[in-house]
Amino acid sequence: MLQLMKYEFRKQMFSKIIILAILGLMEVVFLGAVLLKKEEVMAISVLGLYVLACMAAFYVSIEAIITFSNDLKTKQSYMLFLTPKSAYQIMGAKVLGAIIQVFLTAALFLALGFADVFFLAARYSKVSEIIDAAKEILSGLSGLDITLPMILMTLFLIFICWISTIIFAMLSITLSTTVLENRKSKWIISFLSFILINVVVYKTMSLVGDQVTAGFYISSLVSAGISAVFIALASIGTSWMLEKKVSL
Amino acid sequence: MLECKDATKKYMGKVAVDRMNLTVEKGRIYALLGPNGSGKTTLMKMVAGLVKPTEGVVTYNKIPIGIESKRKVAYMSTEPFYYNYMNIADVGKYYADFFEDFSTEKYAQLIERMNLRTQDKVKSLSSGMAAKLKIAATLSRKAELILLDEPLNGIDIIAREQIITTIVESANDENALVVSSHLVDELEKIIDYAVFMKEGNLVMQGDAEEMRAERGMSIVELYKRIYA
Repeated sequence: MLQLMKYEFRKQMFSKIIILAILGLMEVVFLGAVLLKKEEVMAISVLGLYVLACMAAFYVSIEAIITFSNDLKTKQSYMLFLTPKSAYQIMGAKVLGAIIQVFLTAALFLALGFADVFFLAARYSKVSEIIDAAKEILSGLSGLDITLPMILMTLFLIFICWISTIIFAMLSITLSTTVLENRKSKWIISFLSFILINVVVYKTMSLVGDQVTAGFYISSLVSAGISAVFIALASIGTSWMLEKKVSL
Repeated sequence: MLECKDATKKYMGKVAVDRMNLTVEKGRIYALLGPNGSGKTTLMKMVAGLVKPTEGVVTYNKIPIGIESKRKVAYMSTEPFYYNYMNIADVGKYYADFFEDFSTEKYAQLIERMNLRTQDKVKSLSSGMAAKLKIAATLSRKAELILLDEPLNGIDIIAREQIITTIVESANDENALVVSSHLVDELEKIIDYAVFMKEGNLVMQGDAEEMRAERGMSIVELYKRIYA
């Protein structure tokens, strides 16, 4: 499976190089602006870094889905499905590849974000006051005492949600390919089944969530657990269809 | 080694291959003949494991097509299928990573013979060069069953000789080659067994030499008679 993952990364490497290059450039501009105390440039570069983080997060997910779609739609699918690997291994490599890429992207932007904030706080004493004020406002609004573990748990939930979106999209694409093979209208089935799967997951989570009256951490872990079960089911279902039903 | 029992493939109700019964044995070169749309490609894809039969079974060494058969069967499709980022050297590395029977040395020899350059990007190759690359990569595997779908498509007359020679050199007592083509005259001189398909059905099959003797005509003439 490692060989399969190697080529998954290789197929999607170009976009990551572009993202890293833009990120590097923006960081240089930001750090230069902080050192030289050029507030206007600083503000623009912070905005730029924020937009880049959002776009990178979105694109990494979308690219995993596009690559999967192309692996079923184009003749390049033969590269994968002629190899002596089972559909479960192929899907496993894709799921793990997506998880690793999403994790690395999120970790990189978060680490840089934290580092930039601390750098800014060290340079401008007022920034630490703003951070403390922001914490107080958030605590007031949510009624919770915002702590680092709480932030990390929230980020973990976002990460799980992100992964489930990718896997559910892969399941929807496989489902439509199984039913309609490569007909042009298959995207409609993909889209509708994607919506349906998400509704089912959301309803299940709401039903279970209503039963759980424990605190933030327990209910978060329950949500993450339910998502993980759906991710596993979607991955197995996708692999089964690829193994038994899909013709390329 | 390969057995198709009533193998059928339907696409949204349209029959591409209809109750195909075929056995392939080692030590022979098979020609899979028929015009476009006769089901040759679908049949080959079923054997390669890319297309799942709607009905019937396809087995390799008595085991349904799957991981084990993919280790032993090499398939070359009509269309180019390598990843766009790859150059010719990357294609060799990919095959070496996934197929134990792939010979890097043979690949290097064939690439040189085909006048290809390892650093050339796959997506920038002409159709003729891309066809040569597919042949080189597929025949660099020491597979037990080699399926070549229209290997002469897009190849000029001089390169055709080169490819035919390479195909013949790859044939031995330990493997079987199945070659599909509508350029029957090019295959006539190298095949041991001919399989004629029409609209998804098997219309005739047999030893090439016996067919010629029994009917008093060449495979090319027989082809014309069946499909004209």
